[in-house]
Amino acid sequence: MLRTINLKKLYTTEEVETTALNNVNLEVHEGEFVAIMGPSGCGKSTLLNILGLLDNPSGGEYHFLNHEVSKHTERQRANLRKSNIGFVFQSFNLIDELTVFENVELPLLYLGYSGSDRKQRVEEVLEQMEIAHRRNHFPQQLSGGQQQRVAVARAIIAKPKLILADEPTGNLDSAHGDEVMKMLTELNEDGTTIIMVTHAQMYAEYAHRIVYLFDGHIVSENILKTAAGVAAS
Amino acid sequence: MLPNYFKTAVRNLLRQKTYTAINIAGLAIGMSAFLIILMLVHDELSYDRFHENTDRLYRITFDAQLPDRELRTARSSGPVAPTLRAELPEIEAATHFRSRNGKPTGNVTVRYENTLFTESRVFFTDSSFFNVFSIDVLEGDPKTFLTQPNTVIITDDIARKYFGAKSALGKMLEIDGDPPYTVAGVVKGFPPQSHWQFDMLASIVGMDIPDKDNWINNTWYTYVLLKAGASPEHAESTFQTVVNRNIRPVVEQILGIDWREGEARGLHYRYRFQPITDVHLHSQLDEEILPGGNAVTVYSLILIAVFVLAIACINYMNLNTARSARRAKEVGVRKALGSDKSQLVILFIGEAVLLTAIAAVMSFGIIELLLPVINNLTLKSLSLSVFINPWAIAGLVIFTVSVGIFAGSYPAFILSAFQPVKVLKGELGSGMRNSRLRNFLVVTQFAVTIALIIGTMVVYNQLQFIRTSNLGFDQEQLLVVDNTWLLGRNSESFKETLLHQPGITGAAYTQILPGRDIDSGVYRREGDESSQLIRMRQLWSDYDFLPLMDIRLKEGRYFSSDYATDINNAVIINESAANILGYEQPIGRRLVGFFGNEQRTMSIVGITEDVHYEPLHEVIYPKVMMISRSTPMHMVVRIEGNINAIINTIETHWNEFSGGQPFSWFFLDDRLDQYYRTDRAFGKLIGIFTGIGIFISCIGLLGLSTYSTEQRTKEIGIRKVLGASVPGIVGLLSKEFLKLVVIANIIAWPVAYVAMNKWLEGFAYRIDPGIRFFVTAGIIAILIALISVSYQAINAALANPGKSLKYE
Repeated sequence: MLRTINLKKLYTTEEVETTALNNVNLEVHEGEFVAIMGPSGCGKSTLLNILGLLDNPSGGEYHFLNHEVSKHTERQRANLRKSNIGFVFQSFNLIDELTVFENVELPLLYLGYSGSDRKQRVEEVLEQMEIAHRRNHFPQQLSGGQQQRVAVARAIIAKPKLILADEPTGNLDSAHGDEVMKMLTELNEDGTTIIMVTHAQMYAEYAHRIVYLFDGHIVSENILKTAAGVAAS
Repeated sequence: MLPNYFKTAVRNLLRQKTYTAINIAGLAIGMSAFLIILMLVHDELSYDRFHENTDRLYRITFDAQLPDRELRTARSSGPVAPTLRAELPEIEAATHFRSRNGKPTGNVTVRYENTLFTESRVFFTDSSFFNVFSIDVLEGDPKTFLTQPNTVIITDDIARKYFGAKSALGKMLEIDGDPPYTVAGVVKGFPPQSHWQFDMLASIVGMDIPDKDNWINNTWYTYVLLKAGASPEHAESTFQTVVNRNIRPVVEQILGIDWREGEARGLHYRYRFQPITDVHLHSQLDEEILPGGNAVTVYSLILIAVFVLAIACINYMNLNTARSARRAKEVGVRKALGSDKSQLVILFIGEAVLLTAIAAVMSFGIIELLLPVINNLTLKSLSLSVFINPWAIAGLVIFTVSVGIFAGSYPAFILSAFQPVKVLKGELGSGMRNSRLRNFLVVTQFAVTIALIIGTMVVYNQLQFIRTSNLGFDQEQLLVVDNTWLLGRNSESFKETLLHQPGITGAAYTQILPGRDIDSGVYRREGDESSQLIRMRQLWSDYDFLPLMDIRLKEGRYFSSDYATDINNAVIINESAANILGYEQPIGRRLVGFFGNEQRTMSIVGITEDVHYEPLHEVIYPKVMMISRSTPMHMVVRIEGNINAIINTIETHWNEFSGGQPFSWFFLDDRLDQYYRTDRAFGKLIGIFTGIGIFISCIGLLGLSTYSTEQRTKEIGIRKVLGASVPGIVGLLSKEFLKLVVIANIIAWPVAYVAMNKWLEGFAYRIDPGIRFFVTAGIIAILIALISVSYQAINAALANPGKSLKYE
């Protein structure tokens, strides 16, 4: 599904150059569930942003769905991103001015779905996430768990091959956190590849594999289980 | 996608009601100001465009450089129109008209049955008039109009005034005691956007007008319609050869110069073809029928309109970049979900267009409220109905969308450039903090505001200067009784009677009142046949006029009936005339004056101080004062005490001595005031729009300082923790804005200086736009900036630092 070769990311300010990622080599296969762990500032989010095509690396190669994308323009990245990748954020990042329905609908708008297709698809997903009864509410009217369920609904609405989750449970209590992890696991079981950044060991253990980052390097990998039908490398 | 954008936009606007209200108010006020000025300018630019063949219509003006003077007049001589018709193949039609007394205004008295009216817009012409001007005929057969002697064509307003609902055709009107004129037609008068107006056109057919065939006296207004495709330049030069042939011998004789030699010295004597559409704004000639508009005013207004609109748009830009932090997350999410930059640009510009559309609708309400004030000020009758036509509506839509796009463009590009990675983490681009473009916008906004403040102050001071200027005579408490020639031989008894009434301290007759009553003639020093003729303004009055007006003598004496020769052979001149005549001892010297066919030799008995007999726009002309041998047009009465009682007394005696002729009167200072009316209107207009500009700028600065303090919350917190004082922090936050205002001053000053000098050039007597205006405007701008900024700065400085640090 994706592979990085000697991936590098530097942040340069006027005087200081900071290396956020240094020679990261990572391969993720279709259907895998990978957790990325590491202390604050180790480069987890930077890696996730590059994998999610939100940012370009400073060096190295990034192959996504058999495309070398490290030199893609913003527009090219946006095109690949909108049909293949879904995002779940720690702070949910729902648009406050849009209702639940409209937030979930948004990716389909950017993909150019017709109105009736959108309605049908959004209703399905809202049902699936058990949030349909809140479809006309605004984000501020929901609890944190409900907001994250909407965010997950939005992430999967376009049936992406890859879901990137950045601390999806970070702002939730443990009950809601478990709920979100259950949803992600179910999605993975249905064939969606998931890469999740987390601080919490107990949630990382839902994954097939845990990748440990430290100071921009991958320091170790821990294979917990094998995804159904996927050969561990 | 669009409905989604629309929904987000509307909800965003509703969620931040104060911001939205400020935004819409700023745009609506700015757009109203712009549209009102647009209406004013449109009105000024639409003069004389109602004629069918406007583009082929020309007025013939006269322009001469003679040895002693320059002549530039709106009038031409009697033979011009017939000669143009006869000798120039490119002329399709030519006509001319004049007033009865040969003055620029057509003052006459009209009697219908037993009622007398005073009319001021009565002109004498013939049927050729209707070949040149486009006139809507309401009654009568246009083919016969003014082909017969003693016929008159009147406007529908006059028809209503004289005959009410009855048909006017065939009615008889007596004009200035001539044999009665038959009303042969009723036409629509010209619309207000015409450089001249008439109420009646009387037939010249069969009339004996002395200067009909005289090439030298320019007392006619001549207009021509060129054939399609004809070149006015070519017509003008062809006509010049005709003029040379006819005028050369006469001019050589009168001026005593050789034509060729004169030409070599730069003299000329020309008739020009002036496009009729240039008359209102671009013609500053003598003897215009009505005062024209002022192109400088129109251009200044256009500039002000653009300025005010620019301020409003900049305002929007500043307020919206200020709000951008709140929109950053939305941008990040939309980008992460696959929106590209152009889609976001469309979203934000769309929002601006939506807001502008709301503002546009509101601006019509504001315009409706402001129009009565503006109309009152400018004496126009502007109305929103000019927008009720497809072109105007299309124009308004384009205008609204353009303003929206312009105002929305900068915030749109700023917002859409946010990096999703950063904004989703809660960071704003560091490029946001010191945007050169935004500083540039604030500087522009303030430069414009400062220039407007300077303009307002200069205009106000110039008008104040005019109001308080010593004209050189006493204009207070002077009442003018008009049309005193109607008194005939009773004039002296009338005057005597008035002088015995309580409250009347003096009375005198004059032909020419201060202002734009112009009469001039040519003079020569006696015994100096070869010397050049000198054109001087003439003032005819009775013996008492100069002392009554308190026009003081420098030398010699006033006129006096004790000297039998004063009535025919004495003149008093002003200082300017004394200078131009060049006598070392003018008193007792003699002048030769030319009056039609008569030459008179007159002794100089007195020299007056130079007084501003003409409006202060004009220089003081050389002037010759003489005793009028007939009863002049006006009586000037100096009064004190109960004005109404005195006017009643005068009217009673007027009725007694005039035999019931119409009594009309006015105050002299009211009349003088009228010459400055357009200047005052301009002063008030620029004042209004400056106020609007300042108001919008303040809103903008308030928004921007909100933004700036929002950006620096953390810095302020840290500084406070480290011991910074509240005034220190307010100073820190205000400093950067003050810097911008100072730069704005440096830009605004030279621009305003040049512009105001240009405007002041319209006055022969004017103030010096000294440094004090500029410094004052600068200080006002700095104070405005300080007040707008310090509100936010103080709030930020007083805030609990712990809170702001946690927020970060």
